Amino acid sequence: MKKFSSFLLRIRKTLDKKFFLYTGLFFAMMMALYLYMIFAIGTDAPKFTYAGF
Amino acid sequence: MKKIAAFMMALVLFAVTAVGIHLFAGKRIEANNREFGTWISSKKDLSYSAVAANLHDDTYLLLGSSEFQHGQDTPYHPTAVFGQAGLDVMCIGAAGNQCLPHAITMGALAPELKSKKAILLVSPTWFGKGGIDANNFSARFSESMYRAMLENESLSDELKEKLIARTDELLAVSPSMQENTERATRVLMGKESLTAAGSVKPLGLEDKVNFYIHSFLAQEKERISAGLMWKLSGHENYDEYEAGQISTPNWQALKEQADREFAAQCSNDLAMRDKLYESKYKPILKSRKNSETKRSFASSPEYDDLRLFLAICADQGIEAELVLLPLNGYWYDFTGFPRENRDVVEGKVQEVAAEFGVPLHSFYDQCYTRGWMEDNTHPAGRGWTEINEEVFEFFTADQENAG
Repeated sequence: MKKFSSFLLRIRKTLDKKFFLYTGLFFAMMMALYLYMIFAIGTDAPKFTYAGF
Repeated sequence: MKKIAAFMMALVLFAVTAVGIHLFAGKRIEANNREFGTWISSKKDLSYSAVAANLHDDTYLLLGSSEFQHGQDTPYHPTAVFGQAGLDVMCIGAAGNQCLPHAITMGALAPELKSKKAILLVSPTWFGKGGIDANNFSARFSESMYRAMLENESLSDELKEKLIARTDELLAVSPSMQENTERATRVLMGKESLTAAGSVKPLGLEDKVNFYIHSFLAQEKERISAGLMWKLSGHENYDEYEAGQISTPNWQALKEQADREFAAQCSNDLAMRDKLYESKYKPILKSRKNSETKRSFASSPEYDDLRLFLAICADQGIEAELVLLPLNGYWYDFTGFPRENRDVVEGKVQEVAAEFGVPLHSFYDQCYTRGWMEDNTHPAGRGWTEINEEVFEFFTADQENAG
């Protein structure tokens, strides 16, 4: 029980404003990189040009 | 220490979000809605998983090109007609699609197509001197359809080799796409391939890792794009798929209505809808007059691509029909395209169809029927109604409850 309490205390100490700021920053970077990797696929393919005459 | 903990927390949040997106996008493309088939979208066409997830026991395949993008808001378009008729038709095609992309699509989808019936709407303009344009092929190329075609174990290696060779040749205009397909070929066919420089590139571990990462990301892109566009276009998903009650549309009434509407919208000599004539054709009349005196459909690589498409249908046990669309005769007379050089297309397509014992329904005799087309090649209300009637008859020929 004592060990668990000290574990919770340690977490509480860690969870300050800076921690959330870094978490948000890292998360945004990871998501941006992931979405870039997904949506960059095929963007260098030639564009369709209509020549239906 | 704080930064490491924050990074780990962000990693967990990212993993949960990525899995959530994956599951959500996967659920979005399982529409269980017959409207998905006649929903015209290139995002749908490019996604193997979106199309395959919406092929049901009673789904038929209708392959075409730019005509699907014409008349979408009218009661004559397949979207409206087959929706009301209760027929589940999966329409695939947009401007730029010709025989080769459809051959790849057929190679990919055939195992999932339980009805084993398909129609290809063949456009005469495909059979130009150079066949399919490499840039347009690349712009409409579906990596996931290509991969699924290679993964189709029932498709013969000989046909796969032909598709691989044609694809590789055309994708030369898009080096990164060519590299991806060559890698997919090496991994899925388990073989070495020639590089652009002509040296042999062996299959390695790096190939496999790159292939699986790229495949996953490409699939995610397709699922997210198709699912998002489907929802944005105002469609709904259902929990279970319900087959429609098939009823034959009143073709005659539709034709009469279409003729009346077209007569009120056409007052030009080229038998086009006035709105299109004024915006698209009138400004170029001077430059187009007698500009195509050397043009011909007599010889084209497209005929061999059509053979490839039909060979895949035969190999996969698909009962196929070709429907040849007409051209606007008034327009092509104006541009000086010699009539004998364009009329040759009907006989040559008939020849190819006969080689494979596939029926050809030709609408080529409608080239000078006012109201059949709304511009130089695309069907107007009457055209769509006659095409849909033929499609409906072919697909429901063995169904007793059609009536």
